[in-house]
Amino acid sequence: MSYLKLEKVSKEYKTAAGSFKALTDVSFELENGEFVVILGPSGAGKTTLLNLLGGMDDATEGKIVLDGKEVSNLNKKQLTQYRRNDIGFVFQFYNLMPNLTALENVELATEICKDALSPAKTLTNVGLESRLKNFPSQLSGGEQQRVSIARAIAKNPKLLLCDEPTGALDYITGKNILQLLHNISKQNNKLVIVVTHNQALKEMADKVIYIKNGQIEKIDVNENPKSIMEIEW
Amino acid sequence: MVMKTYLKSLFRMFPRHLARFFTLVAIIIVSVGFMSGLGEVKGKINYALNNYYIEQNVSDFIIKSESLFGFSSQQINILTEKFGKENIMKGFSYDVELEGDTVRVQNFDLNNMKINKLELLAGRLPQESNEVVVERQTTDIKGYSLGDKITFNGKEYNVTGIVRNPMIIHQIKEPSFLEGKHLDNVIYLNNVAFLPVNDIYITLNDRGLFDCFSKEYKQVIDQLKSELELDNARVLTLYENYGIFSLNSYANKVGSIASIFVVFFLLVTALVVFSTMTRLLDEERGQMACLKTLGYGNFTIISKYLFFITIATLVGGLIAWGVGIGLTDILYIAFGIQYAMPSLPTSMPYLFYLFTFVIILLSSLLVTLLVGFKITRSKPATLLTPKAPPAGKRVLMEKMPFVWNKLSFKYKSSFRNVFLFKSRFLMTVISIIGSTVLVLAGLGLLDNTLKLDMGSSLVLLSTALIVFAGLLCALVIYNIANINISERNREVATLMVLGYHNKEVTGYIFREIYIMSAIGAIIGLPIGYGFIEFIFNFIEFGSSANVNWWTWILAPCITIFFTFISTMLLYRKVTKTDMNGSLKTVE
Repeated sequence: MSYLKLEKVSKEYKTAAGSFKALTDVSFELENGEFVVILGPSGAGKTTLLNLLGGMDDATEGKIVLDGKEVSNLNKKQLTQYRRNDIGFVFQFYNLMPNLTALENVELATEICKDALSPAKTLTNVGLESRLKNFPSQLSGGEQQRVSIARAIAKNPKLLLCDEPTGALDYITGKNILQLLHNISKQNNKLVIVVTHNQALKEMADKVIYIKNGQIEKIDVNENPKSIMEIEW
Repeated sequence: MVMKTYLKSLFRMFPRHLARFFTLVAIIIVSVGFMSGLGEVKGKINYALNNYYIEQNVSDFIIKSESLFGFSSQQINILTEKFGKENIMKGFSYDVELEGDTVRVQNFDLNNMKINKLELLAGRLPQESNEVVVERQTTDIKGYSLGDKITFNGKEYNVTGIVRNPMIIHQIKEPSFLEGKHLDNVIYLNNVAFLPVNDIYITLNDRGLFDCFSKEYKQVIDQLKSELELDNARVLTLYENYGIFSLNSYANKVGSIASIFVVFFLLVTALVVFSTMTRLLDEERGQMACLKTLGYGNFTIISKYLFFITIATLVGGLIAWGVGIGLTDILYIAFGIQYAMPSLPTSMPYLFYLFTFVIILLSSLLVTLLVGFKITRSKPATLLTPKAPPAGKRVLMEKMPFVWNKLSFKYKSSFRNVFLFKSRFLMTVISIIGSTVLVLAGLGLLDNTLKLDMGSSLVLLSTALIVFAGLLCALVIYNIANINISERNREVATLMVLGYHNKEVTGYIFREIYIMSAIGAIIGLPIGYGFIEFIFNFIEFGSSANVNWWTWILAPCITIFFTFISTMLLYRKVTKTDMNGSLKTVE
């Protein structure tokens, strides 16, 4: 059985204006240690998919199973527990706590989960050994994103979800961040899913999932992914 | 210039900022309602007292002869000449012990009284020589029933009526002329010819002079009193009338307390308006920038918010009018427990209300103007970017490792926030200090009132103090917590994504409010002690020694309780935070 499995997952939002299907019958399987890119235009349902994977929302229909655990039937409290122990999130806007230092921002995540890694070590691993005691406002965008990545991986999650992680960064910094995420996937054997609208990133992924109008358009498997440093856009 | 669309955006502000609008309305109701309600009491009582003085034609002087035979006709003639026939009334009074009771016997021409007119409460005035009327029952005057027979000086009298003497408006312990006694009953005989005249009641021609013991009145009275040097006689003025004078001085005390609280309520209201409008304008930065780029002037942009706060103040003020009248009437009626209060005056100018309302309106407008100009003075480009959260900083406490290192992680973060948001910290702490002080004052007054067995009006006053202080505290905290939540929406969402449970997330937001609340309550205690001493001194009643020890514990607990209640009301707002919306947008 595969590490992450989605079976005919659908999500319907009910609004005053009527119901709206954000995802329809999405199915795919991913393995641990893979670096996966989800591509699609805005409004295609990428974020909805990420929310379902990350336990921030629940599916209307279908089944999501991560490492043998069915996520799609968890209640609210269990979903919180799932986010706490199994999921690492990285966002476009780093969402660090402004009144906590880099180290404390990581501790914020680790102090509540079971098999956390050492916050200081994790920050050192992302290249921030000299920035532990700095507040977010004293860090550059790239450094802030590194803290946010450190916060996500220090939890030692089963799945690392990244939503447009380079969206707010300049070209070079963005590349470095993607390199870091790729390294994490390969060196730590983690399933990393990156959601983006940047077509160029498909070349570095093990798998590329194309989404359009709430449905899977196709899934490409890259036998020989390129290194991010070889890709230009 | 017609600005139809601009006006449209103005009116659409109200539904969008409904919660904020109601917060402003509520704080204005509480502060204007309390200030005017308390402040108007003095005016209302004095108004009633003046009316009473004029209606009942209350005497300004009583001259009591100490001679057994009373005044000589020569003495009476001199006084009649001096004050005029219309302004003089003859009477007789004598306090006797009757079957163990202290009874005052008075003699008047009951059917032709023009001064200190007795109010007939029941029955009828005497017609036969064996008929009398008696004083009504009060807390200490026992009273008789209609038809009772009283034997006195070997003669039997029938009680035909019950009256109220305007000189006895106090309901408790009306002093007797007999040393150390108070009156148990008063009997009014009708025109008994053989009794001497030992009381002469004198009124001044100018009834307007009284004006609740005005300065001019005191001067005239002092002057006339010194001229009234009569042999074997004592001159009593209204200053010596226990009931009338103490009612007036109580009314003045309530007035003094009110004027002290005006300052505090004004300060807190201005702080609440300031923080609410700051947040509102911060939220509308983008809109303001847009208007600026379209070429709207700064004042035009701000006028929208001035209009918003004006409407909130008007709505709040209108409701506060009702709340204020209600509070005044309740306190006025409470005075009736201790005094024979004239029925509630219905029409009178509400000066104090207008005064507080105008002050609150002006200060709110001023605060909004200040906040508005501060924001509109920035360049549109700056306004189009979101307001940066204040940078994280280490606080002074971190330099004390023996304290800081012992704190758990959650508290470190809360303490940093507490000291990082300085204006919010000040506002919360000042409000909590104020509430604690008010609650302390209320409880302290209550302790004293109960111990000294004093006026029930003060019991009600202290209850009103506690209730309004609590309301104010709850409102301020609710407002701050609300602003906190909307400002730190992103942090809340981050915690939720990291897998923090509801209680941990709300704890993260509310912990700092509890810390500020505790700081305020603790600082409030010594300030409250000083304030209580000051108040007791000021109103010349009570002492801090009479305050129960547990009051000092109860008062901060009450404010912390109100803090807790208001945060609980916001619990759902925190847990309902939309993780996606907050994390994926710039602001």
